[in-house]
Amino acid sequence: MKPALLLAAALMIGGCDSIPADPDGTLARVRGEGRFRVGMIASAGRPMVADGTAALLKGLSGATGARAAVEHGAAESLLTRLEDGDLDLVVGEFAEKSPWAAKVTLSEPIGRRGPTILAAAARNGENAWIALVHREARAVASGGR
Amino acid sequence: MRTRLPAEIEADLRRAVRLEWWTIAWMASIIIVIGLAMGSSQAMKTAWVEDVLSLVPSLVFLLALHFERKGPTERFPYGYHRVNSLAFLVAAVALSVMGMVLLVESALSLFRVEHVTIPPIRLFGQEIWLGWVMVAALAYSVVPPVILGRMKLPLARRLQDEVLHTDAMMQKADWMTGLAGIAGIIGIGLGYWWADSVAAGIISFSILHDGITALRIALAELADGAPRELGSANLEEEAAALRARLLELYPGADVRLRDSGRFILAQVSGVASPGSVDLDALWPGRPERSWRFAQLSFAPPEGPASPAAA
Repeated sequence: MKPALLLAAALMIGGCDSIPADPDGTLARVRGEGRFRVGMIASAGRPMVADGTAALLKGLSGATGARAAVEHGAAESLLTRLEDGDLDLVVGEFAEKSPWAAKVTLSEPIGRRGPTILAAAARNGENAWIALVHREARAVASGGR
Repeated sequence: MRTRLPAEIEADLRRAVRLEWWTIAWMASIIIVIGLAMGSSQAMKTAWVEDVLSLVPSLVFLLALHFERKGPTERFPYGYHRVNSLAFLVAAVALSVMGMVLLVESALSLFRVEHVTIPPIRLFGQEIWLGWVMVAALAYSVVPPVILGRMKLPLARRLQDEVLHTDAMMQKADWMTGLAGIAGIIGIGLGYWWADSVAAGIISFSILHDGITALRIALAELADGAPRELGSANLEEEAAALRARLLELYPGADVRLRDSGRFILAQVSGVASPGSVDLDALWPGRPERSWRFAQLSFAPPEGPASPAAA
């Protein structure tokens, strides 16, 4: 354990930028490929709270230099694909206490309608990417009100 | 049964009591700090559960000592010395459960390939990775157990107190899981999702080992086994020497020793009582520990009843 701690200490001094990192390298891939894959949850019959979503995707593009490749679909299938790593982000309406919150990581709400929130979901454990999504979502949430 | 303790031992007991109160106070503060920084890290959760569990030996020590000080009553004619043995069993179970929880939890999360999310949080207007907060909380949680555990070990030895000794082992488990937690969180920070669970898993073996050793001694004590060494399942040397001395004095007799809490009780069967005996003079070990030899009882030989008995 001591070598591990020494290594950790060295890394802390060396540069905090590399921590946290993604186990599956999402952020690095997004930057490298210049593209991130977004699933947009189709809300039946109701228009999405579009402003927040657009602002979030723009913010993420600005931060990574990548553009969003958006597709639309049903919540279940998009979120399952997010879990499997086939998508990088799913944006849509969630219940405030969504059971998905344990399986994927939800951002702060970027919009709200009654009991549902508009939020972005990222794959669990991709902590660098999650940190970025959180930051951008927060920027949208605080700027949009 | 004589149970008056020498003045130095009484002083040690008072120190142990103070240490245990300090332990409870520090651990309570650690439980709060870790609870606030917990997030969804497995190692942090287990560190928290284990901090709560680690209160058990301290509490049962204080409880047992409270009873031990009482004299015999009509309902408990032998006094309450064995409450210490009982408390020891409880403490040993707590330590073993902690090792088990840690092992099972970390194995499960490895098996499920759980990728732990540690998000950034806002703290004092600053965006900061929660991992650093966790590392800070864990670093805090490591310091008091190291100090308290080290202070308890020599006391436990002098007092021949298995509960206090198990408590010191618990503190060791505490600071080890704290360090494992730090390594695990930083591992996650570096992008190794399994770091957290592997660190917790490795530590769990050492804790489980201490717990099971304590459990074996506690069971031996309650089942009237021969006195064991402090913190080990080996037979105690001082007790073995005492037995040899008694066998020498009463050849042909059946000599049995057992622990009752911190005391040693000896029974010599097959010999009539020789009248008064100086227990301190019989004690073969270091004289400052002769207080442990609390009772020597004799059972007369079995045979056709003499007119006096019946």
